[in-house]
Amino acid sequence: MRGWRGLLVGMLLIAAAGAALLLTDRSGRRAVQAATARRVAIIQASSIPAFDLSARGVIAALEAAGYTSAGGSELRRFNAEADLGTLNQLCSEVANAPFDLVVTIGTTSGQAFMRANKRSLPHVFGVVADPASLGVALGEWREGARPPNVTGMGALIDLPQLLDALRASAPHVRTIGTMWNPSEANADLYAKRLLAEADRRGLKVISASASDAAGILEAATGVMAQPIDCLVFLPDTSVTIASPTILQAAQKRKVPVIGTFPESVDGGSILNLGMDWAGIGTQVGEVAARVLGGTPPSEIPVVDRPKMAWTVNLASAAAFGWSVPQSIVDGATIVIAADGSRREKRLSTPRVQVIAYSNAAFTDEVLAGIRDGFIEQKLAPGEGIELSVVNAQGDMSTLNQLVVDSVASQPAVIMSISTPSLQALLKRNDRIPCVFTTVFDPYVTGVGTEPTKHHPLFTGVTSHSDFPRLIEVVRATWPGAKRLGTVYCPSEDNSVAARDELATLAKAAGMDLISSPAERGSDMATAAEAVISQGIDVFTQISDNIASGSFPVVGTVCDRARLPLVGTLTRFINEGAVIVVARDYHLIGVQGAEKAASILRGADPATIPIEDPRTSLLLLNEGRAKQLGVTLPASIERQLDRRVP
Amino acid sequence: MTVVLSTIALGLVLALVGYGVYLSFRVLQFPDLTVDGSFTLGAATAAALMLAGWDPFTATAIASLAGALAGLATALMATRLGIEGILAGILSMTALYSINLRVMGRSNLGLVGVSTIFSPADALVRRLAGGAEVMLWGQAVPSDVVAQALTALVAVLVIAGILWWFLRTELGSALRAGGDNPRMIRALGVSHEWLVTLGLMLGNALVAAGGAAFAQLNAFADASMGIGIVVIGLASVIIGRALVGQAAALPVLLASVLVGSVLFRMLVAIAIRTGLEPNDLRMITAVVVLIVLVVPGLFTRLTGSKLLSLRTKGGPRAAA
Repeated sequence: MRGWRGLLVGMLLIAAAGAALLLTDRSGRRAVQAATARRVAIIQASSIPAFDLSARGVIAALEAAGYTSAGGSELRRFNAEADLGTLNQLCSEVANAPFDLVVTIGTTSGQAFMRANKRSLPHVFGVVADPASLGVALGEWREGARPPNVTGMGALIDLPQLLDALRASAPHVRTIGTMWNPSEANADLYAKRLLAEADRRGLKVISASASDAAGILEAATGVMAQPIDCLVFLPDTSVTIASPTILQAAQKRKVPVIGTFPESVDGGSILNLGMDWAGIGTQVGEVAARVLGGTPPSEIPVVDRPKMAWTVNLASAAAFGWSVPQSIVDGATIVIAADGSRREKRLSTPRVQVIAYSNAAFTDEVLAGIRDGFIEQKLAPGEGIELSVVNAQGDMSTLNQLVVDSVASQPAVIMSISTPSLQALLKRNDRIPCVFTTVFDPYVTGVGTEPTKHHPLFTGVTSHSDFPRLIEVVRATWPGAKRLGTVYCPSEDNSVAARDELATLAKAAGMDLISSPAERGSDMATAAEAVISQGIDVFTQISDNIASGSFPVVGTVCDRARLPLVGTLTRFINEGAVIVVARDYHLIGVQGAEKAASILRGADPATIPIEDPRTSLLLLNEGRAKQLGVTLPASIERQLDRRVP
Repeated sequence: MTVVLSTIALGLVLALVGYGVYLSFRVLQFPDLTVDGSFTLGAATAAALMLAGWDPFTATAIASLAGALAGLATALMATRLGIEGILAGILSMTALYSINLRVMGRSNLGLVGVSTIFSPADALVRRLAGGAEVMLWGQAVPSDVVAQALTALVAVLVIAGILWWFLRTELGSALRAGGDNPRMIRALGVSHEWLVTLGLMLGNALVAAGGAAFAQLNAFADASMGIGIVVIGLASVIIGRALVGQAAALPVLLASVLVGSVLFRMLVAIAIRTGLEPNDLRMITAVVVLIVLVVPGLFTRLTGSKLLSLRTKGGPRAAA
C-alpha cells in the first residue's frame, strides 16, 4: 500500500517523542530540597497586562516570603499564549512534574489545571472574577464546596461601590450608558451585575455590545447618542483598548465618564475603581506562601477581597458640576486636581520597565549597567525595585505594542534603550516618567532643545560619540592625514547628525570628511569603496544602526586598501578597526539608573538634565597596528584603556 | 507517562479537526474558514446540553449536527449565493461568534464534575485496575487519563474507518472527483454544488465533534477556543502528508492525519518540556515542526541516502 513506509516513520517519531518525554519525566525523581526550597509553577493562559502584572505580584510575594532561587526554590512561569490546546498540555505537564504548588492566573488556566490535576497537587488560583466557574464556592472549605487541595482568591470588582460613589458625587444622574464584549470571560457577568445593581439604585441603563474593540467604539457612539447622564466603563479587554478614543468622544459630547480602568483618569474619567493587579498578585502570592509554609489549602478560605484602587479626576468632576466625596479623594492612588496637576501615591514596590528596540550587542551592556546602577543606588532589582525588560527584537510594530503595553501597565519609571524606543515613547507616553539611554542625538527626536530644556516627563543619557577625542587621536597618530572617510545612513537622523558633527570637528582640525550613503547593510561595501576611491587617509566610521551590524564589511574593504580604520563601538576593535574611541555602554546604563533612582525618590524628571556619557574608552588592536605600521604617540598610548592582541 | 497519554488523547481529539480540514481543504479543495467557528459551536452546544442534564453522547452527537448546519450555511452562501468560498467561511465564522455566545448564554461554561463521553471508559478502567490509578511501565497513571486516550483512540479509529468506507462509496468517490475536477463531475451529470454542500457539512460536523470532545477533555467551553484551530487542523494534515507523500493510498492518507495530529502535539509537549521562556513557546513549536518537515528531504538531498526519506515518489496522485 503506497505510503505505508512514511506512516511507519511517523509512528516511530511519535514513539521517539514519547520516549523522550518519558526519559525526561522528573515526576518520580524528587531531589532532596532545603526546608524552604520549593518548586512552584505559575500558569497563565495568555499575555494580557492583568495576567502579567498579577504573575509578577505572585513571584514578588513568594520571593518576599523567602522562596527565592538563591534559596534553592524554583518559581517557574508557564504561558499558553492564548492557545487552549497548548494550555491543556501545559497543565498536564505541570500536573505531572514534581511541583510543590501550582498557582493559576485567570479563569481558563484555573479550569484547565483543575481538570489536569489528577495527583491533587496544592493549587492556588487568582484573577478569577467568578470562582464558581471553577466549581469553587467562596468561604471556608466544606465537602462539595471545592477540592481540599484548592484555594485561591476571587477578583470581582466592587460595582456597587462604584455606583454608590457615582450617586454620592452626582445625585442628579438617572441614566447611565455602558458597552461590553459578551465573548470575554467575565464581561457578561459584570454587565449583568451592573444592570442588577443599577436597578437597585433606581438608575436606568442603556447598553450595547460588540465583539471587538472597533465594534465597542461604535457601540459607545450609539450609547452616547442617547440621553445618558454618564458613561460607565466595565472590565473588558475590548473596552480597555477602545477606552482612550471613547474618552475623547465623550469629552466632545460632554458626557461624564466613570469606570473600572484606573489609567482612564488621565483621559478625563472622573471616578475609576480598578484592580491593583500587581497588588492582587501579591495577595495570591501570600496565600501561596502560606500553603508552601505548611497550611493545607482546605484551611485557607476562598475570599473575594481583591486589592482595589481609586483614581479620581477632580478637574473633570468640576467641569460637570460633580462633587467627589473627600474620603474617596483621600484614598485615591492618582488624583488629577482641579487645576490639572497630578498626584500619585504608590502602593507596592516600584516597577521599572526597560524597553529595548533590538538585540544589538550594546543592549546587553546597557542592561547590565542599569542593573548595576540600581544596586549602587541601593535599589537592587528584586528588592528595592521590580525590574522588567522587554525587547522588540528590531520590529517597529512590536516596539509600538510594547510601548503601549508598558505605559498601560503603569510602571513607576520607563527606561528606553536606543533611539527608536525613545521616539515610540515620545509618541505614546504622556504620563510615565522616562529615562532614555543610548540615543546619539536626543534633540533630533524632539525630546528637547538642550540638556536642561526638555519634555517634562523625559530625561536621559545620550550615547553621543566622543568625536573631539577621536579627532585628537587621529590628529596625533596620523599627523599628515588630510582626508577622513565614513559611510552614513541618510534616513537615520542620528547618523546624519553624527556625520555632520564629525565633519565640523574634522574641518576645525584642518581635515575634510568624505562620506557616502548606505541605506542598508548590503550597500555598505559599495559605499565604503566609493569613499576610499575618493582618496582618504583614515577611515573613521561613525556608528549607526546600519554600520553597527555591517562594520566587518568596512573592515574588509579597508584591509584590501590597506587603510587604517577607526571605530566608535568597543566591539569594532575585533571587527577590523585598528583604534576605537568608544562610549562605555555599561556606564551609560549606570548613569541611566542613577537618573531613574532620583525619579523614584521623588525628583521631577523635568528638573533632571540630559547628559552625555561621562567617559569614553580608547582601544588598540595591536596586531592590526603592526600590519599597518601604525605607532601611537606616547601621549595617546598613555590613555589606552585596553590593548587587543 | 501521564503526560504522554494526555498528549496522545489531545492529539487524537484534534485529529477530528484534522479530518474536517482534510475533507474541505484537501478533498474538496475548498478553503473553509468556518472551522474556527464550528469548533467552538461543537464545544458550546455540547457543554450547554450537558449542563442542562443531557447525556454526553447525545450532546456530542447534537453538537456534530450543529457543526453540519454551520457547514451547510457556508455551502449555501458559496454555491447558491455565489459568494467566494473563503469569504463565505469568514461570514459563517463571524456569525457563529454571536451564535456560540447565544448557545452558551455567557462566554465560558465550566464542566467540572460533569459526566463526559470519557466517563464510562473511566469507570471501566477503574474497575479493571481496582482503583483510580493504573500501573503502566512502573508508573501510576490516573485512570481517567487512560480512559481519555482509549476513548479518543477508539472514537477516532471508528470515525476514520467510516470516512474510509464513505470515501470509497459511489458518493464518496464523486466527492473526491468533484474536488479534483469539478468540470468532469458536472459533465458526468453530478451536481458539484451538492457535493460541496455535503463535504462542508461532513467536514464541519467532524470539527464540531472535535470541539465537543475537546471541551469535555478540558472541562470547559470558551467563546475564544476556536481561534486559530484551522491552523492546527492544517498542521495535522500537512505533517501527515509530509510523512506519507501525496501519492499514498487512501487509508494511509487518512491514518496520516491521525499520526500528524498526535505527532504535532508530541512536538509541542517536547517544546514545553525543554523549559523555554514562556514567550518563546510558539516560536519553538514552529521551529520543531519545521525541522520535522524539512530535515528528511534535506538529508536525502545532501547525502543521496533515502534512509530518512518519507515521501513515496511517482504514481498517480492519490484520490485526495
